[in-house]
Amino acid sequence: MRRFLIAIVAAAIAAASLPAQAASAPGYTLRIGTSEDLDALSPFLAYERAATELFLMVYDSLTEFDAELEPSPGLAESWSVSPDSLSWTFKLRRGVAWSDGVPFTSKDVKFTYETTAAAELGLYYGFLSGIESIETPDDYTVVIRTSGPKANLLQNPTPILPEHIWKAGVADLETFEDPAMVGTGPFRFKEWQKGQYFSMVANPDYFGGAPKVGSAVFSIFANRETLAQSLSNGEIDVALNLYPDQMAQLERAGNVTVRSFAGNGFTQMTINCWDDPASGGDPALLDARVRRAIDLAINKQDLIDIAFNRGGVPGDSLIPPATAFWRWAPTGGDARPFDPAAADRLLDSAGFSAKDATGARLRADGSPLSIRLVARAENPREVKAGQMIQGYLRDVGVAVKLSTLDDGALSDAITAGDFDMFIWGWGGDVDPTTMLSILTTDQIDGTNEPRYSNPAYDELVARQYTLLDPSERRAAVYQAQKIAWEDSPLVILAYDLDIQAWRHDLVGGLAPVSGGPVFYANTNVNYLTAVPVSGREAGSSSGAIIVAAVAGAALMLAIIAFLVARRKRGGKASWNDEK
Amino acid sequence: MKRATFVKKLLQAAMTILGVLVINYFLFRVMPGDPASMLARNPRMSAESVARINEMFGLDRPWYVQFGMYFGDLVRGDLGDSFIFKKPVALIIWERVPATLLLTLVAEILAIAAGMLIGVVAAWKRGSALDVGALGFALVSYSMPTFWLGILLVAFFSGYLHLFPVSGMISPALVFAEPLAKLGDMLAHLALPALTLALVLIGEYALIMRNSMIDVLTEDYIVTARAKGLSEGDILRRHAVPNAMIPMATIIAMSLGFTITGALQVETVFSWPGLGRLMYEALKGRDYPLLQGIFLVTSVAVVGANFVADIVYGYIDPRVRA
Repeated sequence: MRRFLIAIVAAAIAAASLPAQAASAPGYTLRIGTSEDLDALSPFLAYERAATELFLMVYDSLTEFDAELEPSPGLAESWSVSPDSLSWTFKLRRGVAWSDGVPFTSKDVKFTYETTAAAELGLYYGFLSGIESIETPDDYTVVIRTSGPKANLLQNPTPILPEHIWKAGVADLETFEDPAMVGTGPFRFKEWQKGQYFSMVANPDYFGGAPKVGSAVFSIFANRETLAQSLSNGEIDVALNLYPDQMAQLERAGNVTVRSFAGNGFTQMTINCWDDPASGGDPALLDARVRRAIDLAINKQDLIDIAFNRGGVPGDSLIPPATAFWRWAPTGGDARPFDPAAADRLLDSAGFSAKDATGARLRADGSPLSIRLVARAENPREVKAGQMIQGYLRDVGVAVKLSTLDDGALSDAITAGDFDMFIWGWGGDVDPTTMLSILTTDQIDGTNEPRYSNPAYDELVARQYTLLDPSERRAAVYQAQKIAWEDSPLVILAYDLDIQAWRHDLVGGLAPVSGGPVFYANTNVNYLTAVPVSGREAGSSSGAIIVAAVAGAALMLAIIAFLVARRKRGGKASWNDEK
Repeated sequence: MKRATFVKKLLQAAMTILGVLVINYFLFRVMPGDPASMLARNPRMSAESVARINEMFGLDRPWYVQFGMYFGDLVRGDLGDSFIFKKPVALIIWERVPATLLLTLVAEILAIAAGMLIGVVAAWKRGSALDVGALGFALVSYSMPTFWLGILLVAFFSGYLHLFPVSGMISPALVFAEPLAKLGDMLAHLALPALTLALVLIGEYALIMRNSMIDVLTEDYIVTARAKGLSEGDILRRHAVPNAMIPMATIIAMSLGFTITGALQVETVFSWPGLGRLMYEALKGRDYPLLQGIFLVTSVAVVGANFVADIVYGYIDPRVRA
């Protein structure tokens, strides 16, 4: 027994005296902590932000965004457009190889675009709308013809996939995955352990120059307190998706840079605008005055401070401040600051002036005006927002029945058009078309969840898309936003604050791109410039931790051994006693 | 134990598991919402694509056919394919079992050892300041919210002392040259979750052990032992503790049965990749096959542990052996 214990202790000491992290992978590992996991490895199946980020690192597109979010050369070295603006010629980079060694050619571009456009799956096919034909006169030239002028042809992040791998999956894109993720990007995919991490190694042959780190790993944190703590401990270099109340503490440490910015997305309350007998929505909401009154009645700043824990800025127009160039902000007479009295007047003018004894408004037929609101059960912040909105609307005489549903059940209700109002979020894109198209008539049964329809809006969204002159295009984008603001099918509650932090004593070379983000920024520039701060070894677990841990394990084994031995002796003794 | 009793107990356990299997199937079918819409999150997906997905997972068949398929597959040891992982359920669960067992068994052993020790000492020194202290500690530990304790320990051991890593099971970025260094890294990651879980379990064990000991210490045979002139230590070791262990054995066996589900809260605070977190993910994604698989494994573990407890009871308590 004693010999056994000695052996354990000896093993523990031996383990502790080993070099703690011996050989790590060549180069520094950029360690990123996030709360967001991948959902799929295929661009046809993935919808989560994390997957979009992985695609930016592992794949390339024809043109890519630089730090100012301007299109810059990607797999295409240069491009030109015909005088009629209908034909684009891209000259591709020569000498680029897929990570399995097969050369990259124009055939891959044609294959990817045609497959993506036909599949209508994933987040990318929308960028290819309006493309009529793709020709490949030679291996390094792609000619794209469009049905009309296409203003966002260069703002196209569709990842180019290798035809020789993906042609096997064309018939089966709902399930096909390339587990090796053969790509051309600055990193090569290594491994994904769902719920734990996904990792990449640097591509030394990357056409834009090899990344300065040797590999990158995204660790998935189930808890944001430990995410911030891990950053403080130096277990990770970068922390994404932090909470606003964690900022001050992290900044105090002095070795952490914290960036907070209004992300390219919002949390909105969607109002059912479906004017159809099949609609399950409340008919009172078909009146834009009622929808504007709801917007006026909500104190968005308080909502953000209390329900969202200060994690946002008050929302108004459809295009968030992150894409400042395209954003129209309502000012002057268009502005709608929190004003319950104005909301009251609007509701009166909409025909809901009669009230019962408790002050609740009545419909024309004398029944009480009561509206249903659904919040997502899995998002406590949105549930709290729903409770506050219930209070704000009660103050202007509108009763709200709040319920919670899980995402799937709410999706079903949205698809069926059977809701009055619900709270959810949208993420935008560099090009305004994505955000504007969530309210176009042709997206009913698609992303147009309120089932809003206004021909003037549709016309503007379609037109802005064809205006190659940025200022002309911007004027149309402004007008479309103004219509959406007047009609208010979406009450935009908040532009969500995104908080990213990194240990500047561990990694350098990071800088916010246009709009504020460093990562999840629609560009991979920061993964290319990230560089370990010199004189630092990879890894952080010190010998002391290992000693403590191994000693703890030895102690455990000792306790078990002790108990077992004692049990035996005790057992024998009582057996003897009984005899 | 007589063979007939053994067979009877075994049959009882089998019947229970069978019942669980049936309930398990229908429980998830009455939940609201359509799993296909969760799978195909693209609202623009064509009707053919939705049909393909329904067909792929057998969701287009009538419920009794689905039930028959479920049972047939179970007999072959096939728990189906997970909706969200798109891999066999049995494989996913199997991958998570080691992490969960490592965490919960270490925590259980710590908690059992410490809980018993505290319980014995408290009962032995009943009424003393030591007893009051131990009782107070046990009550606090028993009623402590797990996630909160976890965050407190993170703040102290990691935030203040900078001693242990706080997330995951292993440092994902490191490549270990020596298996022992890897083991050390894993143990360092294990320290805080195991300590958290152990601390919340200690209270229960300590309270039960203390009560059981107090009962035993008032028995006549303790007086007899004292009259025989045995030392206090011998009385404790040879007479009191073995008899007080009898109720503890049941509690421990049952508790071990539940260890397989892991500790959802601890695994979430520390991002520990075990079955508890898997269950949470499965629930969020309305992943019926995976949830069913986890419930099945849990049920079998609990029923099995109860069965073992019955058998062990027969050995340590001679009155049951007859």
